[in-house]
Amino acid sequence: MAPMAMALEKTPSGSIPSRGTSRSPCRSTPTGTLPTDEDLFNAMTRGFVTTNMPQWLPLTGQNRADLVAYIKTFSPKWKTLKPGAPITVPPEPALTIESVLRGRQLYQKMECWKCHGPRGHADGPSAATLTDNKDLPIRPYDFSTGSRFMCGATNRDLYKIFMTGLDGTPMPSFADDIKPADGWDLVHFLRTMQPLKTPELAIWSAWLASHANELKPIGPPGSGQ
Amino acid sequence: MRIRDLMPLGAVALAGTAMMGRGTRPPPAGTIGGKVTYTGTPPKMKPIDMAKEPFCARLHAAAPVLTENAVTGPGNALRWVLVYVSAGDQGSAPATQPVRLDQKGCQYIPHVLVLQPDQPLDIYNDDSTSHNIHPLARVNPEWNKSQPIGAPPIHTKWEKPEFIPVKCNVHPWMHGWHLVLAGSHYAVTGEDGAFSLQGLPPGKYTVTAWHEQFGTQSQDVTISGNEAATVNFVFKATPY
Repeated sequence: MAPMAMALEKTPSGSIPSRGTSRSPCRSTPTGTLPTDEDLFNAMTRGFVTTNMPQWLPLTGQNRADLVAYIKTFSPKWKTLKPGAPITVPPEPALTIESVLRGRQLYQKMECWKCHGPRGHADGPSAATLTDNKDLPIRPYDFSTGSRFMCGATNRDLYKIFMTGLDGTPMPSFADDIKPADGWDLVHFLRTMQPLKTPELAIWSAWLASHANELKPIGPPGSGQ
Repeated sequence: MRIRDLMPLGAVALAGTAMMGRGTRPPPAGTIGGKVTYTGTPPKMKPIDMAKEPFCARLHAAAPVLTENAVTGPGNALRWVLVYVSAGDQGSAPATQPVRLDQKGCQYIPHVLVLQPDQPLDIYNDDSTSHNIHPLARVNPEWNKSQPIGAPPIHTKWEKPEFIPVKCNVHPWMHGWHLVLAGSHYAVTGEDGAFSLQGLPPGKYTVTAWHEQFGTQSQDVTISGNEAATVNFVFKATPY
């Protein structure tokens, strides 16, 4: 019964190294699997925006690769489990207003707004009560800040975030719910909520100028938000 | 001979008397049964405010759902206690029939779900709202999946024994447990606090009772034949 005894001991969360042991919030692999070495390397290189973890660009690539090998000794999981196979990200299709509009429908249907808010301002009905795995309050990403995402800054990074989820946080994987090709529609819409000079925002603003009254509001049915 | 169901009310004789088997045939082996109660003052279970999820709030408009972390019954009975053989015969091989978890009315049903390693687990969203299922596993891999309205059930399993708290981040009051046990001798108490572990071959046993808020207790019992042993557990309840 050794494994059972281990499982039953309630370990105070403070005694477990918080991140980068068996999990990093940023994965290219499905939820429930270990990240690849490259995921860990990239996370270390990028740092985690809004946390105390800085970018480790001053280290050489070899330094960072060595560190990846070392931090993997912190969790026994690396001895028994293999990293997941990275998800397949189809090539990004051309940006169209139809894609943005389909993405907006997904934002409504998948209830992204419950946390991220109807306009992406991180003010949805569930936003204030979110907690991380240590029961500490955590805020959803606020698109209106235009800041980097937790796991990168590119459209491809954004795609991977909602298709794999962010371990240790409330952000789930939508890989079972959003078809691979449709994921790009959501990426295109999410970009329109950032105050950045993106092609997505440009095409959206142009369309919105003459079609704003055609849109159904995002939020709970009949909310009129 | 796996026992997952609770003994019906009144089927358990207390205070050291022998317990009767369910059927007319003598049981093939021993039985350990008893009752789980508390002393002290448990916390009062509070009505859950689901106003932020109108769909679920409407479902429970007549009678609000109460929190489930310390559910009690008549006679100081304690509900949702897992009682299992933690040392001794571990029973049959892991079960192959699926265990079902429902998300219904923004609640996990059942609140405490027991299963064995590799036993199929099917998770349903019966609600007209999205849920995310987020088991905070440490020994097993943590995962977190969205399950929107009308999504098919999630078919999964746990590979290693572990007591896993499960939460829905969208609805912070939704909290449950997946208790993955190596052995097949287990029961979860109902409102009467009763449990019965049946089909135990002769031998020495450690019986452990686990409650999510009040902790763990164990007692040693020896089964030498067809007898029915009684083991009662009393948890010390604190209001917080």
